[in-house]
Amino acid sequence: MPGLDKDLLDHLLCSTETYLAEGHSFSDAYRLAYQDLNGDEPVKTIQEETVLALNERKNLSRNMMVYAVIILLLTGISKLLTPVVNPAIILTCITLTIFFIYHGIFQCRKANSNRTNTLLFLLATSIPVITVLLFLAIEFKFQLVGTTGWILLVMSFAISVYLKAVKDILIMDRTIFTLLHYTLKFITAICLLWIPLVLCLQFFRPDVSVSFFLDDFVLLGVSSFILSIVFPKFNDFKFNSRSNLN
Amino acid sequence: MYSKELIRGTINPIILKLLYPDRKMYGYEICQRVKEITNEELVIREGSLYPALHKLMDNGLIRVEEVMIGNRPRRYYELTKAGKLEAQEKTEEFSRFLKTMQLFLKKSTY
Repeated sequence: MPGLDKDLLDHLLCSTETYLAEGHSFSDAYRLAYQDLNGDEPVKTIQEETVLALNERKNLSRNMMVYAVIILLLTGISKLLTPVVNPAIILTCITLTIFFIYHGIFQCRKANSNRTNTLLFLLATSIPVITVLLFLAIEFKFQLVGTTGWILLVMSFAISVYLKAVKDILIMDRTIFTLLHYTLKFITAICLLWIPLVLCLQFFRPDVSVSFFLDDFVLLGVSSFILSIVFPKFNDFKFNSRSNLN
Repeated sequence: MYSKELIRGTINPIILKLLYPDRKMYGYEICQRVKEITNEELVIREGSLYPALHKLMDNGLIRVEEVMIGNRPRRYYELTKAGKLEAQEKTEEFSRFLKTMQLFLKKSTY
């Protein structure tokens, strides 16, 4: 963390100088100053907290983009790899289930006691798992999963990822405008990433028809992007006008 | 000694007020000054101060100047133009909030 190391070093040495002025020897003064800083762990904690404070919104935005990309890439790759859909679904289901269960277990340890957040978190974890199990059951029993099945599968994962993101937003910042902003960014990522995916699929697998809804996705993606830029401005404007009235 | 949450909620107005309007202070100096003004009632630890300073810097409200003191760099913080406006606004808001809380505590006693 640039600058923080210099701040903490100067802080430690100033504290040492204070103890020296009180009559301690240099080694005692340094030891006491270091103890005041509580050893190594709090320095790491200070760094973590500073990095978190500076990056919390960027991290959230980035995480949502990453989740959207993972879902779409796995969907596209699995369709490319196999001439039939069935094994691809199983591969995608297993991969994403492992991802969400691992994430769920990891987040469980850090989840706070807020009931709404815990409920959202449980929904975000359980929806994909239940969907996967249902699909696997249907697939082995009836072998009916086709294009509709793919749409439902991707939608269910997208919803569960979105619910997880909602939980993160509500922990950090409860304004409705912030929530709308990130929702629109999420929709933008899904829609606009669909375009290169469709083009790749059409190029490598002309037998697979995936160009449905292309125009609608482009329109939805572009409008979501424009709205996501506009919404934070509304949030700032509301804050400033409230303080000016007072 | 006050709770971490209470200090975290008030640290930004404290930093902005101390630096207002044209003071330059380094981190240790800020901690010591707060201790001195409040007769050691309010002690700001490094874990609260430096994340707050870096966040204020990231938001463009303060800037930093590095000065070599002997062989080590010392980072002095001062308010930017936007920081001066924010400092005025925040200290007024905080002042009003304190008055409101005092009124509430006075009137809510049975």
